[in-house]
Amino acid sequence: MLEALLLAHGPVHKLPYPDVTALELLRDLHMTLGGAGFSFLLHNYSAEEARIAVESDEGTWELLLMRKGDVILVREPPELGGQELKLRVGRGDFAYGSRGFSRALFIRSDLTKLAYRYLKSVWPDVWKHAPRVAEELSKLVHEDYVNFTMEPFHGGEVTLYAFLKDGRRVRLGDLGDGVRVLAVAMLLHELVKPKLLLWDDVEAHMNPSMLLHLAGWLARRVSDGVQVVLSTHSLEAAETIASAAEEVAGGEARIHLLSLRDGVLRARSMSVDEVERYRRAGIDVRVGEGLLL
Amino acid sequence: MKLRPFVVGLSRFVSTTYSFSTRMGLGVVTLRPTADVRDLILVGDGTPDNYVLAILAYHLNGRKVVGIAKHEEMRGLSVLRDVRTYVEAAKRLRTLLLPIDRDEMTLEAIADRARSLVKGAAIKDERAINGGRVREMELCYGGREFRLVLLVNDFELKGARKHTIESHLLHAAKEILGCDLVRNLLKRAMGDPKSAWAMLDKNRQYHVYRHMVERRALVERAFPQHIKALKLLDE
Repeated sequence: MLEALLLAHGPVHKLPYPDVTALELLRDLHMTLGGAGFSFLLHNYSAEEARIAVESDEGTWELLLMRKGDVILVREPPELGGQELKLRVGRGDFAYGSRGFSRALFIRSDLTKLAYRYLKSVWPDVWKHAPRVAEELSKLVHEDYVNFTMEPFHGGEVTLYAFLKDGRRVRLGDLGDGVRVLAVAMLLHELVKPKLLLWDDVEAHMNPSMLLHLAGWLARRVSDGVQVVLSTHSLEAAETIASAAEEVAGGEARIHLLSLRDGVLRARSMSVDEVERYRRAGIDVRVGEGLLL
Repeated sequence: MKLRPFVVGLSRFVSTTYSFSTRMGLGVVTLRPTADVRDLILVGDGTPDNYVLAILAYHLNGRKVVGIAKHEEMRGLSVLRDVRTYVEAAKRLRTLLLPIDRDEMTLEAIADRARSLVKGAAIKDERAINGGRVREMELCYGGREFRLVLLVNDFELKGARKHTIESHLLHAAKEILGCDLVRNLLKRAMGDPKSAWAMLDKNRQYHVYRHMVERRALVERAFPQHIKALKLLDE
């Protein structure tokens, strides 16, 4: 779902990862077990077409993907530039006209290293945001970070450090996974100011206090007008984050139960109260598709 | 019959139900996602209710998948206060089966209390089976029609002053371990079948369960109303 949303907000728009567009990033993520190309975009690698429709405050549009022999045509709506992209089923490269930044920011814990490389490459644009993010992170750990710096380590390679109040530095890579993901996400957010924030498996590597802090940070993004869409397998995370968003931003957060069966994605939209009520009644919505959908 | 737990994934209830089914070689608890479950059993007290249900499901055989859940806060008939949640949660819910202990109440008092607890729903029809130990109520709640099946644990056991699921288990135990032993247990437990069953060590409890798995006739004698109630889910 998050990948579809990322694509629908600009298949060839730039992302804050080194030299990749949304299509290229997804291609790389889907290459984990080998195999090149873009057939993963279609159901069972062989469907004739796929459509991703978006309805938002900014308008309604649709991204169309069509299989024509060995080519997958991706037709952008006019809102995104109106290009027709030709992707090869078994090849990873394709031609496209370059674009600005996507309106969507995609966060996943396994993209942290890529994001870090990107931050390094645009450090002069990042450093002005660094003190604010360092201050945020200090609320989570027993250290007082005041800034992030790019400096050489043993061997001479330049790397990213959290800079402490007493002058010490700790490499970002030496911090816990949760802190690292949060730091990178916050820095990327400051850099690209997305309209849509997508965060996959948001609970990954987060201890309870970090998750609570992240919930507050995400809620403030919602208050700022960013649409936040998260995926999680954790009821604790879903309820905590949705409640924080309602508390801080007002309105109603929705929790969607999704289930893919026989190529059909079925969904049920629920309020935080509903999810909690079902849990008390002994129905875990995560495993309740047989009843709830 | 297959049982599909809809309880929080890593709960003790799911873990014990699944492990029991696996240990006894029953294969009746499925954790696989299921497309369409129309019937839900609300287990009142966890164990041994879930063990008994697993054995009964094994004897009923078949491929029908029934959901099982355990209310996190309410027990026994009180669960009916929250019947709205189940009806609203499950759009296709057809039958809600609630096994409860009779304890020291009369069957009629249980029926009255059930009627008062589902007062938000209109009772369109009602049928008593097995002398009222199984009570089928056709309900209409917010325009939705569904069936509530009350299954009352009620077995006349000499020396017991209450009727619980353990009364049925002790009856089975009498056939396997002997009348004297069960009579003694009940005496020591001052007529409370729950305590009497708990006094039996785990190995002997499992010995009884194993016999229940192997001998369908024993289960039919010890759990007659349970068989009838579960068969209603097949209709």
